[in-house]
Amino acid sequence: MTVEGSLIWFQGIVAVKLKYTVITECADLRPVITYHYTMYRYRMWRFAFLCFLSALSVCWARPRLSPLSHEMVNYINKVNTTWKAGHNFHNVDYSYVKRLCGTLLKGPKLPVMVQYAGDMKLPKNFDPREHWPNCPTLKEIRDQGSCGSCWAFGAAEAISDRLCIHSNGKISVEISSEDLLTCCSDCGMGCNGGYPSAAWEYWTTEGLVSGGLYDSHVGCRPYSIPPCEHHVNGTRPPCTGEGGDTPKCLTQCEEGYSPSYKQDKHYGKRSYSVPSEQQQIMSELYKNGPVEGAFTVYEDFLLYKTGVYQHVTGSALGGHAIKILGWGEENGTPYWLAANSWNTDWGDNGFFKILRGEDHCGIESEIVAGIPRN
Amino acid sequence: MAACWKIMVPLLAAFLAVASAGLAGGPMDADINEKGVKDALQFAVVQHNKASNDLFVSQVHKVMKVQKQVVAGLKYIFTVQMARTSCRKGGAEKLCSVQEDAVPYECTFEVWSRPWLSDIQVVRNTCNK
Repeated sequence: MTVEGSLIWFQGIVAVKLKYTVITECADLRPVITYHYTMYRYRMWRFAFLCFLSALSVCWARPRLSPLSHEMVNYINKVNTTWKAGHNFHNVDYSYVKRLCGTLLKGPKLPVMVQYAGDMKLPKNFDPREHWPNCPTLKEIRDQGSCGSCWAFGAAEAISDRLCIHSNGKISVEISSEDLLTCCSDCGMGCNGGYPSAAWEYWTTEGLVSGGLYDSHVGCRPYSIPPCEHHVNGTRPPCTGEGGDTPKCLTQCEEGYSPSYKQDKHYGKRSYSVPSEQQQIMSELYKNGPVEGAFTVYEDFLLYKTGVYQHVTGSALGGHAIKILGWGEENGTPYWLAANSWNTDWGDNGFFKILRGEDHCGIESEIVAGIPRN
Repeated sequence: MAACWKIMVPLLAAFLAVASAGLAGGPMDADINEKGVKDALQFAVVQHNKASNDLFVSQVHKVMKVQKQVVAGLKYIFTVQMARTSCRKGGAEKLCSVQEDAVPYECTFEVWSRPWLSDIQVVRNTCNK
């Protein structure tokens, strides 16, 4: 059976299932809604199928490498792409999973905020660290540790920046990733992943307290998961105990911090999603500050050092949320400037650039943001 | 028809991936037959044996579940059944078979990898023994 053959065959099955669903659910009070929902699901399946096929063909066209190995680093650095990989010394650690597509977010939907970008003259390069020099959190890189809390970090980082930007530098506070990670039960599953859109929504309804890096004793609730060190002579604290559990939601500040937990809450006025068009995202960044984005991480991303990242080799590892802060062009390649939460020794001092303008790895399709309450 | 199945099985896997999609930073199922996953499990088993007080070496009896997750780097999560072998720790034997009267016990291992730091470590080693 050819690939096209199975496509037709598969669509046939969906069509039968569709008909069946419509007939059985016609007894329901809202058959039209059900029908639309079924159509939507059908389109989603079809999209997933096409997505899978294209990914498969791309996969077959690429050489098979041992990911995260010297060969992969050498391969990336030799193929004359727009970025450089860093060497690693292990051959043990890679995953080679055949799952493709569909690792990105489907969480709660926020209202879409469309900007009228016609009157706005956008520069070719925009680095908010230079544009708003009075806001130090723009330069900060955090470390999520062995917890899947990227969704809380992307939000807390961008919210910190926005509080400063919208107050003209008067409010300079590190918003607590810990408060968001541990207390937002609607955001998902804590250290086992979460929805960026729900995180921004939580900021508007429940607010977020301050809190710095692990062991910093800055703010109400600093991060409690260590960026721990394996090597004895390292600069980070050694790893103790077990990782992976979401810390508890404590509604009081660390000892020695004076405002109460309630008094320390900072709220958002509204939260929204940004359309995936480049101009819309750029206008949002330029006008209101950093946003949270999400994309599919592939194995080669772990090895990123400098340049404009685009996926070259290796398979998908899962969805990952980050803070997008600016944009630019490097040797003719358009990029988004983004901050990762993997500490400063990853990538370009913790930051990275990723290909802009073609929704690369889904980077433009899951942008969320919000405006602080005064 | 056999060729058809060859196409449909990965297809189904892709659909399931879409259906269960959602979270940023969430774990997703992985394939134990991949070399990297196998290496990570082997690393975890060595560490598990180092940390236990048992006189004998234990080995994987059955793999129940394998997942991987994007954290600050990459994390592998294994749920396995372990069983005691006839090999003594520090012994020279290479072929270690599970003891006949050994009762398998379940363990969860988490292996955290940060290739840019040349770092790999076991961050969870919990068993119901």
